[in-house]
Amino acid sequence: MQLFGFNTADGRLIINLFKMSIRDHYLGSVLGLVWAVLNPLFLLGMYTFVFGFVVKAKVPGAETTFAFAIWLISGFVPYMAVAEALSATANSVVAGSGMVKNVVFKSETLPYAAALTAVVPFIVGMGFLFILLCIDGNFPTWHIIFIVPLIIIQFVFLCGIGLFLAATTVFIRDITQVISTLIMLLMFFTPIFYPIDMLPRLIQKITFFNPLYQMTQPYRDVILYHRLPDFAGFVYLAVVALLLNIFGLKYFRKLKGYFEMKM
Amino acid sequence: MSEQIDIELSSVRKEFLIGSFSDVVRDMFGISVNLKRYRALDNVSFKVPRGELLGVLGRNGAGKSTLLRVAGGIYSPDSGKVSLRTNPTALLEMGLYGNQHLTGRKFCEVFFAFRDVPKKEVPKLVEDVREFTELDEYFDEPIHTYSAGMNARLMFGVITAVSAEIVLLDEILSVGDQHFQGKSYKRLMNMISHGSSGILATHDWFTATRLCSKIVILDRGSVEFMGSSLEAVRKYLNLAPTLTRRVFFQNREQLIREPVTIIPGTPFDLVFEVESTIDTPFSIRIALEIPRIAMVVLISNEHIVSCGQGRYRISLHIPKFPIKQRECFLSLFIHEPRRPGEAATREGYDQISWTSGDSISLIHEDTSFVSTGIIHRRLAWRQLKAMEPCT
Amino acid sequence: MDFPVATGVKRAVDNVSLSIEHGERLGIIGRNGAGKTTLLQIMAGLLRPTSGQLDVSGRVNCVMTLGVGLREEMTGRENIYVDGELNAKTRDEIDALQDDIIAFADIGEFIDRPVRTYSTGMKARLAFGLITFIEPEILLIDEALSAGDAEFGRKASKKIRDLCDRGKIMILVSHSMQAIRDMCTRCIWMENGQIVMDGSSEEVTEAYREAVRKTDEEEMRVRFQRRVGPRSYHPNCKIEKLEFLDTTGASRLVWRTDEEMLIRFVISTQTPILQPDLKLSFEKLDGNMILENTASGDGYHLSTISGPQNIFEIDFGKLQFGEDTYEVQIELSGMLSEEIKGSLASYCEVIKIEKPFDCLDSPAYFCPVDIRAEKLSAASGDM
Repeated sequence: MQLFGFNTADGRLIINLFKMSIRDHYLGSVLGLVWAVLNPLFLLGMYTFVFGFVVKAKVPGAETTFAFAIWLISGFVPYMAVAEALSATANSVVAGSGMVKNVVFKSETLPYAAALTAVVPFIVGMGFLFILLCIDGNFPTWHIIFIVPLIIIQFVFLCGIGLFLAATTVFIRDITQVISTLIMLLMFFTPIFYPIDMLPRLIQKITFFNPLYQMTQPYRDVILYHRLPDFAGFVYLAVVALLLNIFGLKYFRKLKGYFEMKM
Repeated sequence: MSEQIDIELSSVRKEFLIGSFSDVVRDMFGISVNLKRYRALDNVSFKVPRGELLGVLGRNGAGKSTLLRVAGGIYSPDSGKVSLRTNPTALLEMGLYGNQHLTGRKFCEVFFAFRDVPKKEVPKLVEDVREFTELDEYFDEPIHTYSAGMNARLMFGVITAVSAEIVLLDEILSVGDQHFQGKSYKRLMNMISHGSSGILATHDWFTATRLCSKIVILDRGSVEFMGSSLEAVRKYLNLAPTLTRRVFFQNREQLIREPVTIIPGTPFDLVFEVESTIDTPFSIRIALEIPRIAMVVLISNEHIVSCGQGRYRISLHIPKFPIKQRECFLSLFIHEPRRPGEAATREGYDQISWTSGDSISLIHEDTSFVSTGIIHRRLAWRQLKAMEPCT
Repeated sequence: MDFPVATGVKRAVDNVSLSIEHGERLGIIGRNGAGKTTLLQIMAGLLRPTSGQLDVSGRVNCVMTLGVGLREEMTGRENIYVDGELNAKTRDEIDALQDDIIAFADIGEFIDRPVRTYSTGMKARLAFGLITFIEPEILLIDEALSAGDAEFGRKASKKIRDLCDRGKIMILVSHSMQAIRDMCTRCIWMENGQIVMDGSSEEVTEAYREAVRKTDEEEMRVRFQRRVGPRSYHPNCKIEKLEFLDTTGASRLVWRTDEEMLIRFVISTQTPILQPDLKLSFEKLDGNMILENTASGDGYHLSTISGPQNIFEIDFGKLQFGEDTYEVQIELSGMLSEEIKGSLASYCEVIKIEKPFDCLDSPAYFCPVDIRAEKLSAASGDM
């Protein structure tokens, strides 16, 4: 079975690479495991505090600070996954240079395996969110199943960008710095900490095309408001994700012939 | 006779671009003017049949590692063709697969999982690796505590645990002590006799003569020579120019003319003359060598001659010639006396040996000797209940 | 010096009192984990003693890990400059030594390429070349010289020796008794963090070797237990107990090349074995069958073997074999009846042979030879 030049063996390889990287980062030390859980929670707690208590932002439909926290977290957790995925994929080839130089395998599997590692903060964050929801009495409904296609498309999208990042980083190592700044910038322009109405009208219109928005808002729709996510937005994201992968793979495969220059 | 060819390279050329990212982009779009390239391999062709290991000798930077990677599919050639009968197993560099926290045992398990080895076979293979590598208690210690030698043992053990039909080895055998090197040869020889083939890049020409039937010499990316191992080693060592000949053999043609017949177990004598043009002492050293099996039988420590310039008659007397192999080489070395602690070298004033192109070949044709075993020794057997010795 | 370890405290170095004078060359030997490296690190100032005092007068230079100091993104040449500066050399001094180092490293045009593109062998060579910059007063060496080919090993040893000659005090941690004997005058033997012997290199290395031999035997028994032992191809016949005896009658598995060995084994059988023959073989670790003798081949016709407790001996005389681990096998063949003949039983044992200390080469076998030189004429005459 072949898909975009990958076969089932490659699929298994991606899973194995993912398992290895989880083992390396988190299971290697006791601290690793603790950090995997604490880090996302810490970030969540911090942003909740700043925006919930200090700035005292309010969201229509979320009158209490606790409700605000839930609202914030439901948008922030997917963002954490995005940030993690982007930095992991960008570094994936350089980090795996040992393998690239010495083992016969399709190096384009590396960004895919790296994007999977975003699952860790995602699960931690979502777990925490669900606990809070249950405390709030807001139990999940059948709309929850839409999380699955959301996650899948989000993953595909991030892999697509990841392919470009991973290949380019081999030559321009500083890209990782630039990326982390850019993504933070984007985060502030995306209605994660504030409702969309607070943005100027013009920007509200283009926010539809903000992929970060399309990767965060649907979660809120499905988990908090128990309604279907915006279909057009979903299709938009899916199409872009597919295109990114097609062109990303082309780009990566062309560039990988030159990797040995820099590794 | 149709021979099965396992590895074939035809006119392979591999170049590396030297430059920055913008150069890469330009090259991708075909705007390749003024781009610097380093030619790592140039017009390399050879075939490796089933059951043979090809040796690759060459100085650092000659392209050995690149050649292995091209053969293994890690690099694609810029022109020419590479074809392998089946997927190769390559051991190219140490310390792969990241995580240094893994214990030796875990590393094996991860590796085998990676290679899709069926779960139920894994414990047996892991035990096999443990036994081969002799890592004992270190097997359950993290890899970062391992020395370079232990690392090499583990890698080699793991790679060769799963049967490999084509192996590509880069200088693996010289890491690790003699004990382990011996085990590695044996394992490799075993694999080869079972039909494995491969390419071995190494500096260790002595081992290469034993493991490889043919050797390729690479020089700056091109094949400088390809042929039988003994010839290749001679060419590679290129010893003749390094011999200063301030003390030299007289009448060497007479010494090396035809093979000398010997009878194992009987006395062997050789007389030759040496001329010295220096006043300082010099040493004479002798060895019997069987390069085909990478064996050296030393038959003398140095004999130091210190009577100044002049001509000497040197007499060699071996009371019982020790080797009962059909053919072996007698090598004679003349060099400066070694300082304490210095290891032997093949350079010096003069030498007659198979590595410098001339050698004294000793053969025996007496089939009454049992053909197995290399050393001839008469042992005294005793049965402490009646037994008749019959000489 | 105590290290906290998961299950408690490990005393890496315990109550060590040592004084080293100017001009001394000290060797430190001991098994893995004895504390040698820790002691060296304390002396180097890399670790602080948990208790006790360390007094050092003079500049300390260490050669402990190879290749760590190389900067991957810079070229080899640039690394030479950086390292020279780190060793407080002037530009001129570096220029003067640069060619030597480049010649030593022998990496061709790669000297002007980033170190990241080097093979491990090349990195080791360059790192070793940089040792030229060290002007040692107190030199501490933790030996790990196993990178690259034999050729390089030789050059590397020579460089270390040169370095030692320049230093005023040298301390060498090594597993090679040879190196210690060559380069050190005094030697200490460490075990479990303590000094168990302190004396001349000859004394201590000899004693250590003896002690190690005994533990080696134990190790070998355990390690090779799968390959070792009797095998019966016919239930009635057995070879029992293969032993290797020295001149005092002791049974040993670790030997030295110049020792005399007697091989003894016992055959027992319920059915008489007619026309028996015995085969002794020595196989080296790399598979070469270095010796394969039969009793008949050596001229001995064995008489029928029957009953239990038939003792056989093979007088080996001086071993003469080179350093290696050998698989020794005795094979019994003969005829029990018209139908049953051939190989009946065998016994396999593993022994280790070590070469004498003063022998530098490692051949497979030592054969006695006589070399005589007779001067014929004084100058290059035409005789």
